[in-house]
Amino acid sequence: MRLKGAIFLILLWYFVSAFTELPHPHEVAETFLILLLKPEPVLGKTLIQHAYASLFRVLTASLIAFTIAIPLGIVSALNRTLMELVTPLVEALRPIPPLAWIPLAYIIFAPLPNTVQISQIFIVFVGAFFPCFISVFDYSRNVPEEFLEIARVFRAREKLILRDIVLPHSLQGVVSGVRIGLGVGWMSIIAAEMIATSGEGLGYFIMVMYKVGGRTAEIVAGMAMIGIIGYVMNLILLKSEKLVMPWR
Amino acid sequence: MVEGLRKSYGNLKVLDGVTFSVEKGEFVCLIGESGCGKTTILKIIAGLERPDEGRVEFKDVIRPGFVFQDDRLLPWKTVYGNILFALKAMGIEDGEVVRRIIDFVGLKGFENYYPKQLSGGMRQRVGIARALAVNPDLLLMDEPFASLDARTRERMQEELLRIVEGKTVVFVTHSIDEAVYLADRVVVLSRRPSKVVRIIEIEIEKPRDRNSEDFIEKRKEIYSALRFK
Repeated sequence: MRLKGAIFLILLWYFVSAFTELPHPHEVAETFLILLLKPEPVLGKTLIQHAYASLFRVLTASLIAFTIAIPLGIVSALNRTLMELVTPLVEALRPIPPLAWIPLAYIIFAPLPNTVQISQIFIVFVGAFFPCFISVFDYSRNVPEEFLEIARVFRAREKLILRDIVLPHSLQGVVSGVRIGLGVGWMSIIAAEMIATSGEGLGYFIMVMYKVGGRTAEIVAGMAMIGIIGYVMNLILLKSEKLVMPWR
Repeated sequence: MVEGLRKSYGNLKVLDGVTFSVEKGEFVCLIGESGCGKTTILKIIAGLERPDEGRVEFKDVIRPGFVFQDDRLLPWKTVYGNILFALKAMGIEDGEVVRRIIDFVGLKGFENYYPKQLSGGMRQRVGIARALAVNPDLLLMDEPFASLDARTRERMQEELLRIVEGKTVVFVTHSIDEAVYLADRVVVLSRRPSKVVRIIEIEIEKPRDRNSEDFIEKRKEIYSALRFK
């Protein structure tokens, strides 16, 4: 099945390349493999170095986002006052895509020494925070009645209900929130890097290759790297779900 | 013990004066068609719901154990963890009790299995073990074997009698055969809004032979009581 899909994609690619500027798959593959270890002359960095830079920003920002979103999601689902305080805020900010924050972020953080780096981390933070918060909040808030009925039958106290029913149930929300949040964060960093000069990063690399001109194979190679990393991150998180939740 | 229960959900009248009593150590089956409010009666006895009218009276303070129709286990807890949960709710955290109960209901070796890894019959055993762990004075069971296949169901019925021997049990079912096999007394409920139609004593020695004449006789008796309008 997968093999058939891959063959089809490559054939389609060749077909489209015949009529457009899109480089042929073998050209892209060649460029990709060369750039993996050999520095590209304009920026003087390998594709792996660019990928590492982007990945580092995403992981830092996502880690901060999750550290806040997970506890906040659980607590605001359980505490009425906090819920009334936090949910309107979230509802107001959530529809604004992280990419829309890019210009404002660069302005706000301009006085700081590391403007670009901090702005980019902020943008990824925005991207990763909301999906994670919402997922955790929803799961913590909607514990199925059937489980709560067990608690009532056995006359479990609040603390036990929280520890043995609410928290394990919201773990599902944490797991999918982290996965979706990281995905959105990864898309956000690429966009954020395209706007400002950051010296390295996959988004920056693609943009510079575009500006230099005539480097279409490099652009597609960079895109391929973005796709591969996004896919692998998602796969790792999917696999680790079974480790975190062995009962599923 | 249960006196004149009435209960409606909105305009839907479910219970229309249900009265019966249960003696200590007795196995009572409530039988009636689907949707006749059997589960509601059980929930009222357990204190999960309130009747609109009527009351449930206990001679002593009781601690009920409840077995749900679906096994209702916590999916993130193992067999051991699910049973321990009931004990923790009581403020006891005694692994020894859990192990003894696991042994008793025939789940030895499955302590660390998650509900998803167990068959329907096994899950129901865990449900029963969890209810028994709190050492209940009254065991309330809501069609616990309804979703099991016929063979497993009969085997579970046989084992249940061994497991709950001497305990007071109120067991809801819609299976006549199950009621005659298990019960000392069968409370036959009418269709919704339900009332008690008849109370039938079953004095056949346990374990009962499902093909004996007495057994078939009782089955017919309940059958005609259920058809009575």
